[in-house]
Amino acid sequence: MLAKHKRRREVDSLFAEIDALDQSLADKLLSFTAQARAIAPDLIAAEDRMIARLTSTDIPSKAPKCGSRLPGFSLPDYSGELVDLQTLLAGGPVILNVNRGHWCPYDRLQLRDLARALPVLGLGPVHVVSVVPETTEFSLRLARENGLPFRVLSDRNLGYALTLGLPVWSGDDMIRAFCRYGIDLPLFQGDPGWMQPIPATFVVDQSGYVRARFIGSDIRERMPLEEIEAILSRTWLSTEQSLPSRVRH
Amino acid sequence: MEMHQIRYFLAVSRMLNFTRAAEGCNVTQPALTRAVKLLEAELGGDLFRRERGLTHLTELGRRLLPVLQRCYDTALEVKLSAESYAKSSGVALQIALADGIGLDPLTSYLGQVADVFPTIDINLHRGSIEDALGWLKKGDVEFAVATGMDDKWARIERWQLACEHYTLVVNSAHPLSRLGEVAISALAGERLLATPGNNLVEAIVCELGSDVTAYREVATVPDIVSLVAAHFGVGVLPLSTVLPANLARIKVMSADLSRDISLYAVAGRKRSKAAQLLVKTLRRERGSAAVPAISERGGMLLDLAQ
Repeated sequence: MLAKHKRRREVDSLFAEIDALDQSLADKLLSFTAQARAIAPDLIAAEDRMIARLTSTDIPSKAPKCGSRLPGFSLPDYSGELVDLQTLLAGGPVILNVNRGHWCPYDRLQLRDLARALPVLGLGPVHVVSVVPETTEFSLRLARENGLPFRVLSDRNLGYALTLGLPVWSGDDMIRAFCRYGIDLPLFQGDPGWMQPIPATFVVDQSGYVRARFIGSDIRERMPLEEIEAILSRTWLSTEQSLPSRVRH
Repeated sequence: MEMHQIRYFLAVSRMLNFTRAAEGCNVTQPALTRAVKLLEAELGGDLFRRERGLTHLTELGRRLLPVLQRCYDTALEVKLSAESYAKSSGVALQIALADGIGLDPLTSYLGQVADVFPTIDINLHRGSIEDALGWLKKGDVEFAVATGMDDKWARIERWQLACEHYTLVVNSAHPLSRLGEVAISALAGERLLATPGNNLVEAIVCELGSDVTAYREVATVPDIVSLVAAHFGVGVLPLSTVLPANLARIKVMSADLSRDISLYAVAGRKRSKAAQLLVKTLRRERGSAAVPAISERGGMLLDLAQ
């Protein structure tokens, strides 16, 4: 077996171990990083350096703010069907996750957690989507391998991510580390650019306005489930009418 | 990174000049420089080597140019298709072109409209400025590309597309060619050659009064170049005209020989989907939302350049 595949396998088995833990998402994300530091020190160190570069440039200021309208999209899901934001909003609020891809352990921990929590949260007709800069082949893998009950959309060339101010370039240091672990972004994305989005979550009300957001300039952090739950119950579910057409405060 | 940062980067990499790129993007040069610097900080390296007169892309800039171009182009597509225009068909756009005005300043915007409506039919109607105004009034065309139409009708609204600079062009053997710069009065007795409807020439003729021997309207720019080369008169030509070696440009003292080429439409009239998109594209590209204002000349002026 090639060395890079062996290294990737080790990270994958660590992932399975952490995913099975009975911990909050934030704790799992921290545990994963802490233990991965022992088995993939070069990968985690390159991430550290990339995070330091990105957190110094105030990326959150570029993304849509709470109270502003989320830019629209019309993107293909893994079956090739176009999904647009307007149609999703017609059915209720939307939780939009911008993710890095099927290879990213932090994304997988987050999305699996969200998938497990959805039935328990009793959110009513809330649409959850994940947008990844990968071809449909790999967006399908992300959905299948993690049992995601929601749609994963392909954002070619990070075009939609750019309307949100989220794309970043991996940088040579990170690219070298990716290569050592067989993380082949050009193959996954169908584009040789080595770009990736800053992971983010937007909770969007039915009129299309952002009610809560989380911008992961630290690419290992994600919006806590409790926060999603709190904002949804506060905004929509606190009244007898479960889904008023206008948002109440 | 953000769309405008990439747009500025692409403009500088095309023009290799921060000042001209800023003009092209309709922002101040410090604002453009700042945006590019922030982008460089985020990328962790310089995109340009800034040398006086020799600004050029670094290795990193060359590598990222096609990547960022693709990202930007796709983002434009996403934005436009999200407007759910994509499904309509049988779309047409009627545009009037005033004599002597080219379509060039509008073509990149039309290209973006065509990206959204691939089957769009663009029909061009050429005529005098009065013809164009008449077509606009009757609704035969939705837009006119012209110059100086603002004060002709109160319901006109306008988007500036380009500013065209003119100079006089004379044969190198002509006595005026040795002067480089002349007063308008020095043109007395000269025969002026210009494309039809050129209001700059009308201003010169007006100032000279009866002194001007002749003013000839010549249909095309190349014909004017040939006539000047044949010692037939003094040409009034855009600065962008390529001149043969035996012709020379001369400036006119204290006269502003430039004119705005604008896109005109009828204010308050319901627009077709393609027309709405063209207006939207213009607003987006020119960097700010249009604010209607009454110009000094009474017409409705939408100034996008501020």
